[in-house]
Amino acid sequence: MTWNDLNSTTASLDFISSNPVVYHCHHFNLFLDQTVDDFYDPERGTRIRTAMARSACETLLQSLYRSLEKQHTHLLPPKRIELAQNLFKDFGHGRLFIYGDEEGGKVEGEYLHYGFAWREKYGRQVERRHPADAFAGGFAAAALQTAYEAKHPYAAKETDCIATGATKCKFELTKTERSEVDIHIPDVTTMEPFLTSFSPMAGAEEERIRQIEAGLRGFLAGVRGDQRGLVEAFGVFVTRHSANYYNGISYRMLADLTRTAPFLKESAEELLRESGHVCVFNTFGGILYSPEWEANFGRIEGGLNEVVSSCMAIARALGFGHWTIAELSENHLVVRAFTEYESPFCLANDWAPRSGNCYFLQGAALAIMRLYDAIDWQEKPALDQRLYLKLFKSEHPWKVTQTKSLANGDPYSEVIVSR
Amino acid sequence: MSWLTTIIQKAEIPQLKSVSVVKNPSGELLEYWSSIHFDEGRLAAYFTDIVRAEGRIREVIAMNLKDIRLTVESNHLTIAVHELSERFIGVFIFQNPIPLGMVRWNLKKLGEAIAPHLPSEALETVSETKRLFDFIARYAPDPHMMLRRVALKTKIPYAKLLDPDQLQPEETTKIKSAAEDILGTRIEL
Repeated sequence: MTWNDLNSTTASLDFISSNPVVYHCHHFNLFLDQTVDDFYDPERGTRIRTAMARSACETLLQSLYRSLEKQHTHLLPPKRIELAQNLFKDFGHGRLFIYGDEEGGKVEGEYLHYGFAWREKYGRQVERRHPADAFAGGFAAAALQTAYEAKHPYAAKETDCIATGATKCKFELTKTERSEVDIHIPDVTTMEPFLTSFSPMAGAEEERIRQIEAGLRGFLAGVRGDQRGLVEAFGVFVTRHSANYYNGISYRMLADLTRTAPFLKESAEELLRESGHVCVFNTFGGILYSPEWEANFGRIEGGLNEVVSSCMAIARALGFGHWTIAELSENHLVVRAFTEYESPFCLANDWAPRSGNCYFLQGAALAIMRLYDAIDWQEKPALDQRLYLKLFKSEHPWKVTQTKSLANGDPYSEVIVSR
Repeated sequence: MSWLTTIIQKAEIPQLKSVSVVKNPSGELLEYWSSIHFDEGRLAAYFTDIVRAEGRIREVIAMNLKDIRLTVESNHLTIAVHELSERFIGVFIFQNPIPLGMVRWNLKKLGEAIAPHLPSEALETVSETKRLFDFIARYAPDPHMMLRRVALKTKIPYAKLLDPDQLQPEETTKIKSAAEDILGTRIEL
């Protein structure tokens, strides 16, 4: 069995055993976690992110075991843990070694995506004071809980982390009474209203987008973690990740912030958009620069339609949803997403926002126009932190607004980028 | 022509290739002259890092020397860092060959010529908060998002952070604590 056997794709959304998954890079992962910690404080932020990871991964692993049981594969707890560890590694999160039973356990981690990537990106510049691998901790807790079908959840505490200078990451798993997060984890059934009525209007360059998406999906089907359990490609570390984790931590933070400090909402939204912006600039840019792209789809010359339609195809192939180009000019881009991975979570949780809610889509669309506008595609400057800061440190003319949302009952989510 | 260029031209030191006058500890470049090409902003920031590290070394070995002198030597270049005042350092790059004694003599002469042009403490009206923001902007990762992050961490509205001179002392304390967490280091300005 491969993960592809349990994968389904509908309308450019990907599911593993009915659970929504997307590809995201370390720039997005680190910035989003950091934003959550900035609002709560690192200790509470870590607890909430760990609990969210546990909830999202518990649902994912349970449905994975159910899918296997339907195929008459019944796994005992040690085999379930082994399967979970393999999934973690193949999805580019690093290597986890979980030792435990119903009473709890210990976990060791090697090359864990968050800690390792943090050290690579920021380690020479910043001294980190708190551990980075809440997602790995939550995943390990969920793996133990679902392996033993325990009635209670486990709390995961990272006691050693390479991002804070340890040689190896270590966690303790202990029984806990209640979950710190109260969310409904949506699965494919939550998305059925979108998926059954899915009949997108064709946007610009639709045929080109469709062809490139198909080519990229063929390439991605063979991507999995290397011996370290990392996926290092296109100049970034890539993970296949639970969309519910991203949505859970983002919208939970926004809900708490709206209740306790509504004057911070604009800043939080700006930072959530930035997660998408930094992701698209680096990952999409890295893909467009790559020899694999040139070999399969030709060299990018830097034309407006060419760059933007290529980015739409990449977004679809990474499982972000069915994004289309509704309008496009040198000063203006309208993206309509007939599916996207953010709104279903908002529909499933009544405390989550219903309008202006697609922060990743907003940041991504903004970055797509800036990629077109700011990069000299003939020169192809290195897409590194120096270039990023040089381009975006000062005020820039591009702005983005969201005008429609699937979460609000609109037929699509729409964002407008203009200058 | 800047006052620094005038000083360099008058000094007539053929081996001198670059001079940066840098605020310490913020790393902000005050004045700059060079006949060779490199990223002077980064050079200023990195040498300020070295000066800060050197200060910590002196703490450890309990030395109380006031004037800082650091020299980095390679086959081609000699880079000397010289304390110009309590708030400013100079980074001087010489092309080799040049004897170290000559480097020191030139540093002394150049330092004396530069000193009258440095803003005095009395004229420095920049608030502690503004200096703190300058420091974070120079050293924090993702500086373009720094104020947004500080807003979330301190729970101080973003609009208020845009006018640092209006902030209360307790708010500055919160900002300093947030900055220390962002950078993972103690900040002394």
